[in-house]
Amino acid sequence: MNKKYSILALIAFLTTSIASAQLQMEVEKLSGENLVLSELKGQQLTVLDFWATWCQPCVKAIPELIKIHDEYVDKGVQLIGVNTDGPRNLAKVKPFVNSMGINYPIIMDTDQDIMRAFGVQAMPTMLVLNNDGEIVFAHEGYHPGDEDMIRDEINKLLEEDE
Amino acid sequence: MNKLNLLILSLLAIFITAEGRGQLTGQNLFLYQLGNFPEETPKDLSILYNQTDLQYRHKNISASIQLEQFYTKYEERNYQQISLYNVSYKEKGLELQVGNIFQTLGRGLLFRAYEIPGSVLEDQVNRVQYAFYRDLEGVMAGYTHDYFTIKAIRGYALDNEFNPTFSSSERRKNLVEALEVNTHIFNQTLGAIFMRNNIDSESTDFASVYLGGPVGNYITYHTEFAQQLDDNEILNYSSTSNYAFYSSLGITVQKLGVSLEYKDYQNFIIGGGINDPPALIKEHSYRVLNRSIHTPILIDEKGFQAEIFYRFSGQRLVTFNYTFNENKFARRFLYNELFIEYSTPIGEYIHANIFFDVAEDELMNEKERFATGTLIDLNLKGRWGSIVELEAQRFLHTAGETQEAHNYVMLGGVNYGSDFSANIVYEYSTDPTIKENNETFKQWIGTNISYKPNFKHTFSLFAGTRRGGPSCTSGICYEVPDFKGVELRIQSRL
Repeated sequence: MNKKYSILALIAFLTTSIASAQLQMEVEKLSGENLVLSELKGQQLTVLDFWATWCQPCVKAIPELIKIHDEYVDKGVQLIGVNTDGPRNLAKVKPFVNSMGINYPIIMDTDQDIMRAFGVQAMPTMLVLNNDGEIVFAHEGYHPGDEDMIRDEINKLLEEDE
Repeated sequence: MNKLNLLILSLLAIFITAEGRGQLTGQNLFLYQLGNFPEETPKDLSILYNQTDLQYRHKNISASIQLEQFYTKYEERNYQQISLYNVSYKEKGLELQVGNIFQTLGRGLLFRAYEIPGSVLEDQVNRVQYAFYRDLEGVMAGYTHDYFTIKAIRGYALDNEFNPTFSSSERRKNLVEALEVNTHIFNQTLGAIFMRNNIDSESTDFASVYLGGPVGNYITYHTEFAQQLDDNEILNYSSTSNYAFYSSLGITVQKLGVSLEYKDYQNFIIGGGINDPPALIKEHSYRVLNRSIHTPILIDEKGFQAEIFYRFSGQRLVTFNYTFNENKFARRFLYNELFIEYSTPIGEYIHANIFFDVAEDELMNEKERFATGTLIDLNLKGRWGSIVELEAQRFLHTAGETQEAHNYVMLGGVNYGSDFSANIVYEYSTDPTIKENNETFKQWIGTNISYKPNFKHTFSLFAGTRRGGPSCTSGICYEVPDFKGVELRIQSRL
């Protein structure tokens, strides 16, 4: 077993630099269209919101995320909802999205491939990616007021970019 | 393990020879418990569980690995292992995977592999904790074109009732071979699945056909019929046949969303339970309701679910759900539930959820089950806030002498955004199925503290007694034990 851990440590040592690899994932939109994640990304920042219909804080956050999307979409920030509902709740996703008036793209993660690729372990989780696909900010959970902190972080990251 | 060594060395070779470098990400979950089930000794059992997940992605290749370690003072329960590994290659619609695979065929009527990230399952008999997933160890190949998709899988399915101290041959008895083909024309998807499940020297064949897609912008549907082929006529719908039928319809009219689903499952437990058809039972996040969720019994289960959402102006949302379910064994057992929830901001600083639930569950001997409750999120000052949750449930337990039972939940806490929270949870129950000896009631009180110093680390501390029972997360239901003691959980993003 020690030998295996040593090999893993060596792999980690050899691969510590960052590239835009995760943005090259193939994903499926709610409409059924298949595309590469980078086709949806923002010019400056990409915000991934991992959510599910059964998750109460996720649902509570959605109206605030719609506002954030509307405020920042013209500033090069693209919000993308990653729906993680499994077959149990899949039938509810589209009626729910339409009913909530979600106007940002929704991609489906029924088999949790995207969750695994980005190391998401809780719901809701919001990840902010820079242009290289590097996670520059992560936020788990939602309480009213969190949206102000998310705006502050996005503003700070946009300023750093400039 | 030889296969694994070969895989790791192959990976190493790929990484070294690749032009440029890829992206390495990882997470770690560390869990320490000092305590035990409330009625068991020793009271101060010390348990340490650690899970490390590493993912590497370079251009079209990705690889991942999960390491698990579990230690107690009982050596026979301890283990350390590489639990999951996967290498995949994706390019222009082509996908190849080797290792532990998570895939769903159709809507899961025939096969579904899943993972509940961040969850730790406990084998309550052997007292071993382990990551919560059900996968297929083998290979997968797929190709997606604008007009069709083809996917083939072959591998050994995990039966996660067996903890990691059991041998791989005990945990993975089902060899699954399947081919799924579908075609997309005019936005509609027509698909077919053939699956063979092999256990020991016996094999059983299954097939499924499905059709689904949008009709305009506001209607979606999906319908699927799956059947065991051996000794059965195709599309046999008789009472002795082995089949599963599922159908759904989604409709949106402006701010109104409607989802209607129907199921009919008969003699359809495949192997060690490798399929997971849609349950059509509302998955509740409220504690008293989450514990009462009906788990599908695939021997004979029919029913439907209707859910309606309506969004009013000002971020107010009402959800209405009606579920009807029928199981026939020696006799007919009914389950029906009506759930209504209203979610609304109140002024600038308060967000409230209120729910009402009326149900009857003959299988669980529960009649006239009523529940109500509220969840209030209060913004105090700046990012400081407070949360209050009150829930009450009452039902008649009809096994033997009819008894009235009550469950109550009270939670109060403060939080600083999602970075810090501290709360106290009190639960009280007179449920005759969980009371022991001459107890008139049971109660649990515990405190939870969570702190996130930065976006890479979360520290969570629990102290007190925690109520167990059935629990449902991400559409999967499982049994959680009661716990009394202290639990520290550290989640890290590498």
